[in-house]
Amino acid sequence: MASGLEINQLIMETIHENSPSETVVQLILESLQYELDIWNRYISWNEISGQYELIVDRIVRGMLD
Amino acid sequence: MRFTISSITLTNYRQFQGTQTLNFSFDKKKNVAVILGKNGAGKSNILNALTWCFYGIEVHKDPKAQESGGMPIINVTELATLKPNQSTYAEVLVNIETDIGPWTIKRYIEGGKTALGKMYLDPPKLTVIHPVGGQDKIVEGDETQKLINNLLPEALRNFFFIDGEQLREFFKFSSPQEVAEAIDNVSQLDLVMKATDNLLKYEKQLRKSVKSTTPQLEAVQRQIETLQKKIEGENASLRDLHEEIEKDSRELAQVEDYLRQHNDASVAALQRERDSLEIDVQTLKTHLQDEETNRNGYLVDITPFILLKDEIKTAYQLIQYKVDKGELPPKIKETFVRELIERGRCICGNELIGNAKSELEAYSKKLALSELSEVSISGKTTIEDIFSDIENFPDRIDKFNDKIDRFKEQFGRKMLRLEHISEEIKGHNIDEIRRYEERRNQLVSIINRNKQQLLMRKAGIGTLNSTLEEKMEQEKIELSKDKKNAQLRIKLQLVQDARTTLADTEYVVKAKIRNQVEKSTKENFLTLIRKKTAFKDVLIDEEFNVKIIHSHGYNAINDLSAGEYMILGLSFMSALMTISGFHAPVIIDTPLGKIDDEHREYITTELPKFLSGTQLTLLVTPTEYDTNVEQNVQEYLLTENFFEIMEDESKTTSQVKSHVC
Repeated sequence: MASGLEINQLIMETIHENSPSETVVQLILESLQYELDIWNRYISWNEISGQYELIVDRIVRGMLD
Repeated sequence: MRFTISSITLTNYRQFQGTQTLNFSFDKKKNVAVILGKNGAGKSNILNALTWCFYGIEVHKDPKAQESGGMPIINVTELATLKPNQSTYAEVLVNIETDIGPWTIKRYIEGGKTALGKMYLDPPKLTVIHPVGGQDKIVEGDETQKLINNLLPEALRNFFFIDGEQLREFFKFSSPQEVAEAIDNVSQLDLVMKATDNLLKYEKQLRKSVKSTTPQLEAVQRQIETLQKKIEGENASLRDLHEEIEKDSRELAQVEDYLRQHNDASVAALQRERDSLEIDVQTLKTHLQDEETNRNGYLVDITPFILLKDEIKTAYQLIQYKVDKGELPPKIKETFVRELIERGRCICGNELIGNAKSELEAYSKKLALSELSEVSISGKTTIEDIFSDIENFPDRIDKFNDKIDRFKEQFGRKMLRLEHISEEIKGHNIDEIRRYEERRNQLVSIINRNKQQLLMRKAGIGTLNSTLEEKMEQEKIELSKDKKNAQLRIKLQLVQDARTTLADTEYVVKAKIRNQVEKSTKENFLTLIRKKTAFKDVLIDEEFNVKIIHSHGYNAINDLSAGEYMILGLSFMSALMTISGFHAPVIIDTPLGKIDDEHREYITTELPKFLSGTQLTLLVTPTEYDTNVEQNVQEYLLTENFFEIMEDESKTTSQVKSHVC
């Protein structure tokens, strides 16, 4: 996804409008960034789930601190 | 990122033996390039060379050639000269100019003969050279495709590298699903969908990773897992059904087109009559549904009054009796009386004299009754209105029923005519026509059956989803019973919320993009079309059906000429291009084939203006590029951007050269 496009802005605005909290926005944005990083590359599920685990753990730790 | 092509170099690629380069100059006003070539000379392979170089695929191949394997990617003459253990290669190298400087994109494939003389091809290799920090960076491997997708995503390639014939046929035969897919591609929601899928997989893994601390938790988690599997299975069946409906609808469109275009004028006329009747039937169905809804709504509103008519009458008589007896005084505002007593003077200027003031004070004590009077009098008026409604009931309900009956009668008449049309075609003396009509009827019945199944399955999935939501709530309750599960509960909630938000986002963005595509397609179509007053609207409904509204109000999507289909296709593609936000060159193979002279003239004068600022390359046959087209294009064509593909006598190799006038 190329940056600065109107559609990206629309997607981002819609995410912000529909998210129940900032932590949910954070999880979504980090997930999208990760999906962009691995775009068109074959990555094993173990690696993908490990990355999701890291993202979710970090956000939840932040929530509990 | 904006880019233009500055050169294409082909080496041993298909019929282009040796190394051949096309250098393009770009001028915003003179934005057209022309590549002239006879059928089979290699025009489509120029388009293939671009898609192969960028994405590793050749999409514009002749289906017959694809089935038989066709011409190998490395030039045949080149391969024929190889001896055992010798190799050669094919390469397409494209130089482009971007906002940040020049890029080179190169795809290379090596092939040869083994010691035993067997042919082999190595996997192709992609190299991208692009400027980073003022220096050229050479990228190979995984990262290359990502770079190209940033330039122009693969999903959008069909909107820039266009096969004219496919574009002309797009709205003639394509299904709403294909329109929806094109809009999906441009919506760039792939990342959102991938993230949603992976979050769901991760959520399932989270659930599995924790040992259930109570039997209830274990049970509910098992139920969730089963439900999710069921929903996935049902969704897969739903997709299959959708595909089946799409496939059958495409075939139906082709069968009907065969009948519509048939040389036998009576068959063509019957099919056209059927097209028009089907539009009427759909309109009548909608009118009928609307009128039945209105009548039922009216019945729901009026029935309680009809049933309670006697009680309402009693209440009315009671109020009337009280008014007649003077027990309900006229309504007087309390503030007015109080002010009158306090000031001792009326607003007309007269003083309150004699007993007037004391009488007024006594009267003011009855004001509570006056408020009641207000309610009663307004109630009385309401009851009078109700009586009038009840009295009008037989007339109104008759009007509703008459209208509904009229719609039903018209509907029945049109359905009967549709049956007769089918019978007439089935009774035709040409076997092929009869077979086509039989197939048409088969397809209509299969499509209707599958559509019903689709509705039932959708309802089933809705029920499963509600049960799943309930189970997830139960899971939360069970998890909250044990402190050990606190973190898991938070994680699950977070992931579920993210999934819901992403699903909502996908839905909202798709709807917004559909509206934008509709608006932009309409603007483009009404600008490009020759008969400007013939059409008044272009609609893309929620089911992604594209409708061209004729000035007489009917949907003319099945009645367009080849030129009008081309213009609709170009308008739609152009809308998608603009909305995608990507600024890439547009290359159209055989844009003018099968198009009448008038539209040919219109496309060649309007399209370069319409795509002003965009590099536009037209791959045309000498028949397409007639004197009129040549004159029209002249204004937008730089001499150095005019090429010609020449075949050798054996027609196995081609040379692409600058065109000599």
